[in-house]
Amino acid sequence: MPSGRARFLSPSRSGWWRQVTALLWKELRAEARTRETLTPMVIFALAVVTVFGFGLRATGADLGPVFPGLLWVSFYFVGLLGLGRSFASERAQETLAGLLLVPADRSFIFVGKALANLVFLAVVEVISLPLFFGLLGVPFTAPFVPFCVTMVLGTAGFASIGTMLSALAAHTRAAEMLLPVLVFPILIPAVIGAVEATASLLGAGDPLAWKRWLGLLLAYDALFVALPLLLFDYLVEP
Amino acid sequence: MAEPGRPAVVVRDLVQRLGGHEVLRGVSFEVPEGQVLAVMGPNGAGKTTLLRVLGTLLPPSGGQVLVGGCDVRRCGPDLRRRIGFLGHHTFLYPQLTGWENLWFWARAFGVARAGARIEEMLATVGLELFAHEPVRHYSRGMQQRLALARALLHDPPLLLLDEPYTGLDPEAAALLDAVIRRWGERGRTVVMTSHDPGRALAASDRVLVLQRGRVALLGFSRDLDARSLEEMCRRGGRGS
Amino acid sequence: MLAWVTFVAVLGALFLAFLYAPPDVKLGDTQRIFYFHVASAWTGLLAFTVVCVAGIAYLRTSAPSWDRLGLASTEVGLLFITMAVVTGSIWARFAWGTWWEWEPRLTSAFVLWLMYAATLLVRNLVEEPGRRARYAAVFGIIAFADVPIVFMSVRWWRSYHPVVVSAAGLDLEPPMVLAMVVAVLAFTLLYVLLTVERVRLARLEQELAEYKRAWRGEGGGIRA
Repeated sequence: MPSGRARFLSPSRSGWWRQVTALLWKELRAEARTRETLTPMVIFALAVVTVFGFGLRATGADLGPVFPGLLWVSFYFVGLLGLGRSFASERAQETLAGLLLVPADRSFIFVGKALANLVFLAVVEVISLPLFFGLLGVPFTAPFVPFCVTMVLGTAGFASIGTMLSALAAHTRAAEMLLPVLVFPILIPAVIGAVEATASLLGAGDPLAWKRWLGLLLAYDALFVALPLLLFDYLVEP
Repeated sequence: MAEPGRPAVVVRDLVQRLGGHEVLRGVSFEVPEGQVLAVMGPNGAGKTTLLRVLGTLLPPSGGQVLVGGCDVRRCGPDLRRRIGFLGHHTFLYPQLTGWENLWFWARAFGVARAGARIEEMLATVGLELFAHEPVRHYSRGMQQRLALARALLHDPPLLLLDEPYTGLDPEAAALLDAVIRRWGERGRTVVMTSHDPGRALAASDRVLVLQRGRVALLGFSRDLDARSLEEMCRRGGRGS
Repeated sequence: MLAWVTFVAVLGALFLAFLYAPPDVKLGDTQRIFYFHVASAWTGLLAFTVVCVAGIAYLRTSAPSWDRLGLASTEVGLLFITMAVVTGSIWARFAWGTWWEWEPRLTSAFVLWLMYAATLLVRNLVEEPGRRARYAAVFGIIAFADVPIVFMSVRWWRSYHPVVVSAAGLDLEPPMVLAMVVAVLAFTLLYVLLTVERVRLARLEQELAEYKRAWRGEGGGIRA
């Protein structure tokens, strides 16, 4: 009975979107009041930069080859921190069951939360990117727009599949430990695409390769937005 | 909602399995529109489960459940627009204020003129003064009241209340009595579970008693007395 | 019956791989592990396909038999993919001189191993049986959809980062092809045998749990 596809057929199509924005608003409002997600994430990002600053025993040009990987792995780990709490807090208050009462196809929960997580990730990235470049002494030589597109595409797929899997992990024991184990194998193509595209844009290797890698990211994002939409109902079904 | 003369809720041979265990075993009853039904029974009898099935929160394992003439398995989202549910959990977000919580639910249920409606509901449950306080500062009784406001916000024709008097102070309890009575007067339907026979009899038109997942009694409240009802609810209890 | 056929097939594969097929021109006898590497990798992939299909079937029908198949295929598949990764590593050591290479097939096999492990973790960490089956099914589907993408992306990545020691090509003479085919066949039969047994075992486990519950009576009932 549950089906993300039904959303397109039911008369409440625009209604679904209203529920998504309502949930997004609720997530952002709650976060604005408590900052219980963004604060740890930003601090964690800062800590990571610091640890790398000391631990790598190299800065600036020497970091060239590894810097893109460093950047994205850091963001993904920081991101996992934020994703974990996305459904954990709902579980704590049992509000997830309340969301099941809402008259809309249940995939709205997934989309609303994924968008909220995307916003949080974007905020953390905007804050930490200058720090990564600045404190590690790597010059920012990338063309601005393609770089931003890369950041968006690399984060979007992660937000989507991460939200989906955090919904899954939230109902298990040891949820926080399970989430990275679930996400990282699935994320590998995105890691490759994002890191290679970033590397290409920063001048390491073929400067035109980024287009191809963005293509990979786009395909990955499309698949891992569509798949959760179809399967999410099965996760929240009581 | 349902056509006049048609029952608001029809349950036929409902079987519900939870975790491999049969919680409801062939429950059948009907609730005509505009009636208040109290569901009672000992712990473990299946009251909350029954309410969750009616509220489309649980798909029935077997049998048929019609709400407003529509099968709960099929009608999902549209049906939920017509149901107001007050369960053991308040479904409130503690970091948000009372007003913000209601705003979220108003948007989610597509309530027209949300602002005015929220003000109205806050006044009804007596929480106007605390509307802009975060819910985590509310007392248990206040949270129950807000949860009631949430359930009534979209003016649902069917109200499902799971032990709604728990945690309510006498004033709030009287308020709930008034709400239920008014709901019935307006031709809306109420199904509530209760552990308090006296209160249940006073508030309802009919009583359904469940024992071990089966219907033990279905009758008019005016024909029953609190003492025998209490007996029934203690007898055949499974304990928890 | 199946067990006998499998036994014969495995014996046949062993014979062909070790005695019948000639040693490789470049690598000598060390190449023989390749037959079993390919066979176990293929079987590992087949098993995961079954996990995904069983998952889809379970979500649509909610029939426990599909879940049992998914569970069995996950466990048996993990066995085979572990063999694939280990034999692949040994193969790499003798063919390319290193114990590991980030080349598409080996890497994909390793990622598949990770996905198997994750699927099993999901099964072990979810308490409620209905939920467990659903979650395992959902994750199996998602993970399986990712496998081809992982393979492709590693291959692309590899083309940008060629390593000096590239994958040694294999010229397979007919007897070697025969050995390979029989090995694949034998392992597939072995997979089927093990999975069927595991499904049967799972069904017995569930029946036992049912009896225990009934025997305990309704005393420890679920709160309504």
